[in-house]
Amino acid sequence: MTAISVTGLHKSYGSLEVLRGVDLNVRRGEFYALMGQNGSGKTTLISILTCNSRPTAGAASVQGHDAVNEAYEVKKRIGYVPQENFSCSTLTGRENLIFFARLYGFPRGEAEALASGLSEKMELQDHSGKRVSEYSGGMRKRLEVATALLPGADVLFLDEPTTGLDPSARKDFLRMLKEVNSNGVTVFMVTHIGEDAEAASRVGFMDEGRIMLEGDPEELKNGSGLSNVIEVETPRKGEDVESILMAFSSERELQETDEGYRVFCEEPEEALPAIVRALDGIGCRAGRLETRAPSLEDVFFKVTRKPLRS
Amino acid sequence: MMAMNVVLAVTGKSLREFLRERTVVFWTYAVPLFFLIVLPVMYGGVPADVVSRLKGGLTLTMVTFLVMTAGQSNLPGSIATDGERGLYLKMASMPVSPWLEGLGRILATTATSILGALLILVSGFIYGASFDCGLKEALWAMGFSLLTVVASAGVGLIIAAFVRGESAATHTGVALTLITYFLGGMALPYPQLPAVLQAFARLHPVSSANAAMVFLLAGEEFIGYNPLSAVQTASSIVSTALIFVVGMVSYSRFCWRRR
Repeated sequence: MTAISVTGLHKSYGSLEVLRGVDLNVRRGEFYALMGQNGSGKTTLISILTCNSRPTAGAASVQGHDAVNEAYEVKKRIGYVPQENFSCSTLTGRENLIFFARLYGFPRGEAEALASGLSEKMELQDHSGKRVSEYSGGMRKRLEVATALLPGADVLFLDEPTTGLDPSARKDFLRMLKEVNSNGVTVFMVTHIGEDAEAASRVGFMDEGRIMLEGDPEELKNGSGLSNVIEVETPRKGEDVESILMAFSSERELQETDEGYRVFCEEPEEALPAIVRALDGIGCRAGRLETRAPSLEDVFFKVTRKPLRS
Repeated sequence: MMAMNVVLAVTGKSLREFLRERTVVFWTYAVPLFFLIVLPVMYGGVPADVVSRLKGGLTLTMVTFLVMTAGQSNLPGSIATDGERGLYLKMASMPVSPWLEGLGRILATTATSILGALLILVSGFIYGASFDCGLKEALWAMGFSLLTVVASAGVGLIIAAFVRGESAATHTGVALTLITYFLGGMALPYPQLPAVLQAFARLHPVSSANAAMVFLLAGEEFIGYNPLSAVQTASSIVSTALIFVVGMVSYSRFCWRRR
């Protein structure tokens, strides 16, 4: 059974074509992560699926209901967590949950019971009496996911949910999201963080308004042809450094990082000392060098030739 | 029942948020109270029985001032805050009617206005204000007071629809409140206004409704025209309804959909 079905979806703002024919199917109960750079069209796609925007052409449906013509039916079946923190900071966590429950039409008594249950589910019961302004980023995000689960949502949409969270809060948040998914809720998450997408059962790469590749995370990594990645920390960047590192890259492509470069390499044990020597030769003493297995971000780079995080 | 839940949820949330912002609560109520206490200093040489009714008129005008602040400044400020933090993006993905949500906000504005009006009326009485009226006039005055609430909320919704950002929306509301107060015959006696401002005072739903309240409860001599004539009353009601409808349509169209 299909939870989300998208066929030939186009969206333009004037002459700017943001979505250029997106085709996508997400099965019920699946955890799908859509990866892409900022501006690739991810948020536009999610805004159409959550009935916040209309497509220029094509069709999109959620739980069998058309996102344009049956928006009310779709809205009854989805929960949406936008990128922005939408919860009211002067209200307590519990008051927020009751407010959103009542917006869904639940009478006060039922809304209170739902708030208690969801606080517990999201491990917020000890903080539900605190104002949201006193919450950490992770707690606030968990509260907002709780509001998205209020109507007993069949499909949960999340737009860059871990932005601004520290690594530990992010890990907790993704664990909780997997628990939600294991209870049968379809999760559709857009992200530009590869580690987040690893939590999904299926991942799609989006670039320039199109889905370029889909698959489960391991399948994508194994099928990428990438064997190893060397992170090279350099004191400076420039054409001379790049031409040396390029010679060691099996992809004939380098990825620039904050600290230096990322080299895709098949024989890292042989390459490492050679890289150090070559860089020394041009007076660029390499700092930290680290070899690791390729990640989803590396595979994304290989497919699109663009870094996920710029 | 479901519609009532939505309206009451928004009313409750808006009231809680307002009452927890102590600075906003303080200035909303303090400014009209300050004017109420300070302005009668200028009544030197006026006979005592007139002064008490002048204070009565001033008390009513300060109630209107507070209603304008709540509707034209606090309401768009709170809408802008919610817009900035993505609440409308969230609500637009929920099966919620913008009209019911807007109605909830207006009910909250009405409640804060009633609270403030009671505070100002009590303060006015303590300060020596008196009214010369019967029950019928008092009920009519409450009706006109309701018009000021509805018209101010309508103006507030229009501001919220077209002015982005909490600070900009709040300042626009404060500016419009002061302009209406000073140019609409509430700060200066109507006969002293130039012809163009006299027309503005009669046409503006808030200033004309305020004139009707003062006319009914404090005395005809404080108003330079008959705000209770059939034409004037009809004008107040129609312009209030118009502003309110334009406000609600703008709100549901721009605050909900454009963000």
